[in-house]
Amino acid sequence: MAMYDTLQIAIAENTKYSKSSYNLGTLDCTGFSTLYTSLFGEDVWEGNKAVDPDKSASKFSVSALVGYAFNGNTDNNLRVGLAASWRVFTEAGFSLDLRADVSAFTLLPGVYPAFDITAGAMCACPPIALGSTELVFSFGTTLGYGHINGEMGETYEPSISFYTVPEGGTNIFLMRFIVGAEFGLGDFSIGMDMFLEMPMYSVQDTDYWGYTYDSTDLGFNFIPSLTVKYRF
Amino acid sequence: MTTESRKGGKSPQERIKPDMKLKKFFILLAFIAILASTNAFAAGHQLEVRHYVDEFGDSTGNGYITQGISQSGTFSNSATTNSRISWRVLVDDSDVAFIIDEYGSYRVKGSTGFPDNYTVSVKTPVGEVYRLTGHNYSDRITLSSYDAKQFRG
Repeated sequence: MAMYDTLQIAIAENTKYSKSSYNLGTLDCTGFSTLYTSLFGEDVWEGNKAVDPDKSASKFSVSALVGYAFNGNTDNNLRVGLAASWRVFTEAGFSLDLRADVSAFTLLPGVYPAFDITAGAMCACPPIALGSTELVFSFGTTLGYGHINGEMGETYEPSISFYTVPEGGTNIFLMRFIVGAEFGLGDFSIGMDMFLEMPMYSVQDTDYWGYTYDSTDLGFNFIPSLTVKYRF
Repeated sequence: MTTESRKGGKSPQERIKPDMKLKKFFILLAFIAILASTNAFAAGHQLEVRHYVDEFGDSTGNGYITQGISQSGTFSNSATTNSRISWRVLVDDSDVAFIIDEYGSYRVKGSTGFPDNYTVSVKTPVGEVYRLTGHNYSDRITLSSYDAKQFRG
């Protein structure tokens, strides 16, 4: 804010028994940047790369994610995805991220291409200053829908039973819990998102004795992912 | 003509002229003085570097940015309306704080154990309004670290 020539400032007391309000008038900020540089030996903007004045109030960002899903079975898979989020700032320093993700993956390489779309909300904690960068922790949850492509008769063996993807593929309904950490670096931030994913999907089971029947399977995936975010 | 003029003295117009010049000179002087005082006043509110002092009043060498002289403003509460305050902002590389003196001399103080909370509203020339959070732990309203960054940036 001090990059502007002038700022109007008012202060309101928020205590239970007193509600004084102060009208400070106009602060002349002329020369602030030069003074700051001469005093602290670094440019005020350089010293706060993570809160570049043009980006401090950034609301919209997009991220690219690469992760690997572990589920304890043979269908561990590589995930690539894109996420977009809209940030709502609060006075307390916490912010709310409304987030949408699209990811693609393959259950068994090349056999079952799949995708999912999820949306939800994240709570981002107030940034922790670390030298010229800042660290932001966030957590939240998303819900979504996915689809596994496949043809009738194709099977794979994730555990003890044989699953057959129904004709036209199968739908997935999933819930994700996300814990994230990101380092701000100017326009970009890099970080890691940990997904705990619970997908629920319809399959046709063929049991050990050869009987086939419709079934709903509940999975559990742990997906550590690397993220690169760009803030507009 | 010359002799006659000398003998006959100055014409009425000639007698008035020096007074008018003097009057104009004083008006100009007053205008310059007003202009100078206005400039001085404005310059006094411009930011400058000062240094924190220790308990002995000696400079610690740690600098901060503040106004040349305290600025005036107003305050209101249940006991008074639009009374005078004088205030300063102190900006360094970690903190941004406001020191406010009610009625020009009664400093607004807080408590370390139970700090008073404040909302600091800042409006930019383009009309953006930021609501920042401040706490008074001692004798100044200090912005939270995130908001201090926002204020500096």
